[in-house]
Amino acid sequence: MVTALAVSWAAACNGSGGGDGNGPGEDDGGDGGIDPTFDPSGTAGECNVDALLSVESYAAKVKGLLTGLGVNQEELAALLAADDTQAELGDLVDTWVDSPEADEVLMRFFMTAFQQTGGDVESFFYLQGRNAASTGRYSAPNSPLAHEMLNQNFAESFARTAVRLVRAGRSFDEVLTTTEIEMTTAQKVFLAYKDDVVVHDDESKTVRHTAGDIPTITLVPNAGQAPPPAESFNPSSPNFMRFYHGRLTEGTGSCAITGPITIDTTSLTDGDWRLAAGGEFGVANFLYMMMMGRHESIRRHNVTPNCNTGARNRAPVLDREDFYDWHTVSLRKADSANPATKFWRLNQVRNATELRLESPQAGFLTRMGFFSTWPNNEDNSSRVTLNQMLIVALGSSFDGEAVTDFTPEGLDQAHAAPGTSCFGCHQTLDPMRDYVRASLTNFYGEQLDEERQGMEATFIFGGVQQVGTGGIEEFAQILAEHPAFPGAWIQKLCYFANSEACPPGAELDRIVAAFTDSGLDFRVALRELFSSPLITGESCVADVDAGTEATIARRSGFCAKLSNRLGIDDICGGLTLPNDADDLQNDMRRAMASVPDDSFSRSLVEPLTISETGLFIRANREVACTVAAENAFDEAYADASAEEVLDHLVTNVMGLPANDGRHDEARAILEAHVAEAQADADLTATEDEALRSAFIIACLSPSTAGVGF
Amino acid sequence: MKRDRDERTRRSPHVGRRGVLGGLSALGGSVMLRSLATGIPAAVLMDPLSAGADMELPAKTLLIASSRLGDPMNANVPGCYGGPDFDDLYHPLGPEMTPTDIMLGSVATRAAKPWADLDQGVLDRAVFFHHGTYTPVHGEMPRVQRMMDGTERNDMLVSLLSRELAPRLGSVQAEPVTLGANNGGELLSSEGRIIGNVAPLSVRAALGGVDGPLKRLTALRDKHVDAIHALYQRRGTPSQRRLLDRWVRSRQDVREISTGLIGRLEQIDNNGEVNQVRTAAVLAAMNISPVISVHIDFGGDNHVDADLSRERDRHVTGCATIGALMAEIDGLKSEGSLSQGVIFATLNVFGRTLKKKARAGRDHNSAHHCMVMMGDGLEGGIVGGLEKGGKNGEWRATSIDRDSGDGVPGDAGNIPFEETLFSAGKTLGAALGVHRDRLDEMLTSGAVVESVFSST
Repeated sequence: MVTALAVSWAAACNGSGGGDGNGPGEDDGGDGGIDPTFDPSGTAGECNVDALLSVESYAAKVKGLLTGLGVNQEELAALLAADDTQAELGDLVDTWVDSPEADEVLMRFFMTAFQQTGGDVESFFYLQGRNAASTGRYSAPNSPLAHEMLNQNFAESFARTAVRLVRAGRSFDEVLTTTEIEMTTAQKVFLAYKDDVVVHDDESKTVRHTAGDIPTITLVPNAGQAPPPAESFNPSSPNFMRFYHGRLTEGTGSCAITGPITIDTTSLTDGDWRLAAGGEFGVANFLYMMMMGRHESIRRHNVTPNCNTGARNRAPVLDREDFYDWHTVSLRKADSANPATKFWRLNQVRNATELRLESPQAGFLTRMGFFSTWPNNEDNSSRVTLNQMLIVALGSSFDGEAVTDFTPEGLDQAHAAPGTSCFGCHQTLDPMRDYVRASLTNFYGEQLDEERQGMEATFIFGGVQQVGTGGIEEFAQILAEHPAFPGAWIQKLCYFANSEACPPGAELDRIVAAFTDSGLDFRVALRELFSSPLITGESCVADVDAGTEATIARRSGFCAKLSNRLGIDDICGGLTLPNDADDLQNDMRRAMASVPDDSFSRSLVEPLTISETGLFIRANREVACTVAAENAFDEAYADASAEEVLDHLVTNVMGLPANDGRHDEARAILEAHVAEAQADADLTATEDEALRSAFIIACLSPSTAGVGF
Repeated sequence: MKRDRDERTRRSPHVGRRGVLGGLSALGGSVMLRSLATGIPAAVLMDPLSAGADMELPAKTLLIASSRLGDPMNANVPGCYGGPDFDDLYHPLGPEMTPTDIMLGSVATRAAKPWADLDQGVLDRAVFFHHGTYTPVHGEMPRVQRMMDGTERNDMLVSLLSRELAPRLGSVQAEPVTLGANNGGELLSSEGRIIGNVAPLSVRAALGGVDGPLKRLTALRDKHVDAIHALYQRRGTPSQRRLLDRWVRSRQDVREISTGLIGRLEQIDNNGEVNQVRTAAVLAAMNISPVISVHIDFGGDNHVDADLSRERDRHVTGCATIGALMAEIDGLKSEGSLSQGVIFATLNVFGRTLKKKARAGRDHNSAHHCMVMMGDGLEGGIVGGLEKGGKNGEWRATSIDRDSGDGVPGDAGNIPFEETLFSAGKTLGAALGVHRDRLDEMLTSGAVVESVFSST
């Protein structure tokens, strides 16, 4: 309900409680009833807000969301003393966003928001036009499999890129167009390989950069005979293209191999050893898979009985560090003066800050993380891809409403005839997907089919209409300039903070305008939104019919709190693959598996941000807190006294600084717990056990396990 | 709707089919024996025609398998074989999928071998309900759960059923439990709140807790957690208090769960389908929730599936998983650990085309899906059928005669094609023991097909 009265009440119904340092209302003695002096709903009803949050609560909410940390005494004092708390909070938000703790929070947000996290073994091989197999791993200690590490690279790559853009104050629409991407060496190799071996719509393959490069490959049966990778991939080395193959020693009789064998990749001779997969693709695939630790099959040509070694997974020829050496890489168009980068030129690729590629590049739209998440095929013909691109960029999907006076040529009549319930969607979706199909095949290789390359696509969505033949790069530009783009990203942040959309109205419009006017500086979006009553619930908002809801802390947020408040990096192993993780991370990962995290779903416009608790969510969080108490406590509190531990539990883990009205009583409750646990003759807890148990209480407290307290 | 219900009760199908109407009143002793045997109140057996309006059948737990991928489960079930012009209704080839004669109760029919391999005791309680879901869109799984927006307050049917059944079953919680949501699109919601997925390993961890030195401090810790909550309650907004209340309730729920069956979860070592159904059976025995959902793969989104080989392989494993579930339930019952009846059912976002691509794969079919229902109180059989008439001459579900449950081509049945989904939902609700009047409130369209209920 929009009322002038609502606006006029805004100042009066500020929930800060008057700035006396004790928050709204005083302690009533701890009998468990409602504090009679504190009426949180106050005059809120007059402005249709459920209830207003105190400074303590909303400051904890905002800082906790952005950094995982609790508010400190100075920050709370500054807010309590401020005449304009929204401006003061805005300044604090700037500081918090600049902190290193915000990096991981933003990265997790972007990984989900850009839908980069769906890769698995099937998608890894599908992008190469192959059936799923496996890859190798390093030993001592065992690493994850190469494709698992690479999929994790894919998931993080664009999120890291987005964080860099945000930190640099770049216009946020560059997420649609940028060609400066955070990558690892392993990713660069994959990207160069995928640019080389194009998988066409019909699954046939063309090798366009490395065909004929490798006339012979020498394989040795013992790992000790293999040269270092730097020599294997160095054309001037005598050991060029010499590799260990893990199955050579297994043949018997006429299939036995006792020493090095050299394979001629240019011709086939009866009885000679050859790569099992033939042609130029066979060579490129063999080398690429060797880098990933998969020794592909070789066989003797045209002999009976058949001699085929089969494949074997061993250590990748890439270095372990090649999967972790993040750096910024410029993806540039190959031309005659600067030919495409060859994936097997490992030494060049490893040192390169620039890759030369033929394939079109357009921000998140062409990242392997996105492609892995949304595999394409001839049947859906990029419809899913296109729709998810719209959802990510514009927070919108096709709504089924038919557009009048528009009969596109690209409409697939087999899917939707005029008059059917599907027509409205297909009428606009089918001609728009040709932006994708003109540039990318069903396997996300560069589209080389001339018929499809030249397809004219039509963008007609959200009040914008454009026809073009510029493919994915033109599509990216349309999205970047689309009026829905800024608002869509503000709403994604709303879901992140409130687990629901921000209600439309003047305040939301103001924030979107501020973001737009800043030149799409995402830091401005964060400051304006997170200091707004739409997130803080500090005061009434014109046009708004609901207040902010207290919610559970979802997995990433909760883990960020524990990590940053205890000083233990990635405590839940959310960004660490199981084989790279320590016992604590793996135990925490298992315990937290059913605490919901931010996620997304096919064709669902709204981010999935579960706000409610339940039997199992609560129980799993308790298990996680217990695991942390048993296994992280020593690291966090190595030399601390009992008093210091209790202080830290209240002020840091629970995030209640001394000037928070809840601090003293919370401290008293934890003290009582420690005392009673030791005093109870049946429990006979040691001080150490009692303090660990107090940690669980702090860990389960609303400030830690919830958002908006 | 009142007129419809009256008409339905006058023409109660299964009683008519068996010709026992009128004989019951004269066979009081027999009725009493049957009541004891089936758990169905004698009054219902004495006058089943009015049962819908006046009586409540015993409440049961629902274990439901859902897939947003739209698995080809509809392609090889009873009802898809033996028709006069089924030549272009394709099935996977090979000995694993051989069309096999089976008996569903007293109904002789055919199905792919994996279905036929289920125990006869299961098949005698298995109903295959052919219907449409009216959407070809993966993302509309939640909408299908809401019966295409045809439910009370637009809530998911399973959540409405869950809340209805919880007090009657005395369940720990009224919301469903989701064990196998493959993706956000398979998550359930209740009253607008999305319910998070709980993987089997997490169930084991949650209910088993952490064995260690801190476990013996649990009760004392609960006391001080409550004190912390009270502190926040006193200074809390209404929204904060609501969440605090739910935390407290959730904690109490966990503490009140009987630990007797937790040992059965020790064999859970991954989150796969076999462990999902094993966990579901144990949660049913613990009476945690009236509705527990799992995911069982029957071939997934198989647009491209050469020779339908994936469909074949997943049918073999999928039916075996269902068989394992039913065996687990029967085992828990026979040892006295599970006291209430259980229905297993399936509801995917859509079925798949049966003709269009022959054996090269299957596309989405909004006009045909098969809800499988198995369990206590059901009489084996087939409801509905298939006819050509979908897009491009594709197979689609027929209308249904609600008396006999037979499929009626040409939309001439008294359950038109457009109401087959709602009727499947209502029939499922009735099978779970929800009062018919209440079902009419939950779903304003469709009718219960009475022929699915066992009278013996």
